[in-house]
Amino acid sequence: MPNVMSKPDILWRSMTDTLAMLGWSGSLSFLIGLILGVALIVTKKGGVMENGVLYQTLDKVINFFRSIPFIILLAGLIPLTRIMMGTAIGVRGAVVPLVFGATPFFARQIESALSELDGGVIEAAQSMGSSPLEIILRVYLKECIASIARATSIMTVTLIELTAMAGAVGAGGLGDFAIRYGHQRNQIDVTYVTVIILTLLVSVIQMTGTVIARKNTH
Amino acid sequence: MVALENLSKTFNSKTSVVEAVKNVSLRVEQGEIHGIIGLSGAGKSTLVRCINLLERPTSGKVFLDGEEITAMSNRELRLTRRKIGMIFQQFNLFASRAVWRNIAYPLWRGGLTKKQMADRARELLALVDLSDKENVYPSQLSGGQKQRVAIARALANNPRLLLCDEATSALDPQTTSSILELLKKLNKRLGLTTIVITHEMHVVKEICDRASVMENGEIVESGEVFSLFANPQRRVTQDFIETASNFSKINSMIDENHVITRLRPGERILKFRYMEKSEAEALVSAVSRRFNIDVNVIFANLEWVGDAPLGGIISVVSGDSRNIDEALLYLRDKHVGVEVILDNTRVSETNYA
Ligand SMILES: Nc1ncnc2c1ncn2[C@@H]1O[C@H](COP(=O)(O)OP(=O)(O)O)[C@@H](O)[C@H]1O
Ligand SMILES: [Mg+2]
Repeated sequence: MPNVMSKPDILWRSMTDTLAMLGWSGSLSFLIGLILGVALIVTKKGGVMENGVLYQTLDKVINFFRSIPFIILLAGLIPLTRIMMGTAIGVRGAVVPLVFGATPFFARQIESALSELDGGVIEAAQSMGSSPLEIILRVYLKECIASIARATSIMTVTLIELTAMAGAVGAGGLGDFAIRYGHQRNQIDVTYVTVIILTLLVSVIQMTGTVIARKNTH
Repeated sequence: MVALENLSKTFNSKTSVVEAVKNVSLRVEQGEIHGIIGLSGAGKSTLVRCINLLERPTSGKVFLDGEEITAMSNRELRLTRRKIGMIFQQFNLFASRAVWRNIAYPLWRGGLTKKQMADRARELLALVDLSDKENVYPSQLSGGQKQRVAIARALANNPRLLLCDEATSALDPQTTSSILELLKKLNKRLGLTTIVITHEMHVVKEICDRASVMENGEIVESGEVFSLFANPQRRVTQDFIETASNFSKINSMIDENHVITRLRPGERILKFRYMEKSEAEALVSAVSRRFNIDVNVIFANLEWVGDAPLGGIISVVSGDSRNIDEALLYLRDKHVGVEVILDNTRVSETNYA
């Protein structure tokens, strides 16, 4: 692996960049997606905070963003990214499009995870005097930890793919590293090492998701 | 205690309008176990869900101890719901919470420490005879045990009223009996007013003081359980009683010319029914001795509601025709209903039922 060994600092930097992008965009997508997913579930017809207008709006907006290919989001969001982050390149520049890319998808996954919960359980909580907020926090989120964990690991893996793509347009990270050296300079060992690192990362994320899900299934 | 006034609930959808509950008025007194029986789709669940406003009635009022629930703000309603326990056919326990945490769920925000909540949960588990299961998860419990946990959870905040929607319908007969016994015990011990929804006659017979029969969204008959079932006025009530007995079999036996229904001259097949609370006495042997007739029992369907027998007997009666007639008069005096199913007394006449 002569090519990799000759630039350990660049490899290290790429790795930390990838992790930083993943960490930031992952946390933000998780939070925003979770809120949107919960909002979809509770405002839906028959939900504990039924609100047709809000539901329809969210539904349409989420579908709109989901239907845009990521590569177009990357380009299209450059002006917004500049305004929000002051730059459109590097880790900071990548976070905005990554969040826009992952959140709608994750919101849908949360929606479907929460919809698996039996309506009877919600009714039982209502009959005991729980408020809608209490039902969200103490019933939906608590009862669905396992499927939320599974959805989160899928979302994170998707984000790894997206970071690799973002890397290609100047975000840095392992994707950028592999393209710049492995592909453009034909340093094949760089590609292999990158692939191995990404595979390991994906495995760790999936395992974490599975373990959390199993611990919360009774 | 509970009063429903002209309660109606209509479900409107694009394709249909369903009047699930139509102008129902009902009073349930403090300490009473009130049954609401009806066929599937009669509107029983909708009615009971209107009591704690899981379903908003389209019109009408609901009162609990004189307070109008239908006029409460959301916040007041939530506080009131803590005083109305509810249990369901499917138990609806929280799968991710251990038994004691299920029971402690409604105690949250009651200002108790975690230890106090656990103690209260343990106390309730003892009350429902499930003390060894506090740390088990619902998936490891049998149906009957799940319902016990659900009952304990429903009682956590010392409710004044317990609503049971088909609480035993998912359980086998033996478990059903044990849950009904538990409900009866809670009613006696805690003075807990209970409303029991069911499509099963024996549930009403076993634990209810009073009952209402529901059909097509309306309460068509209501009263003390004994008189309701001894003297059913409505077809639907009569049908419920039939399903709980084997009396309908006699007609097919006659059609098939079963050996026992081939009457000799002078014999009749009669159905005796207890119409009012009567002294439990050995009627069959009494009339046979007193009037010198033979009473050969084919079917007997007797149940005890409180301390009075409910149900009846189908039997072949033979003997001197005049003696039989006198015996029948005597029985009518004792408030026993007599119905002729098949009569071979007058050879020239054919059967009349
Ligand atoms: N949420 C609902 N939307 C529309 N129709 C309903 C709804 N809930 C119940 N119904 C209808 O109301 C009628 C009574 O239902 P229900 O109260 O569940 O009856 P029961 O409990 O006696 O079986 C049925 O025709 C049922 O289809
Ligand atoms: Mg029902």
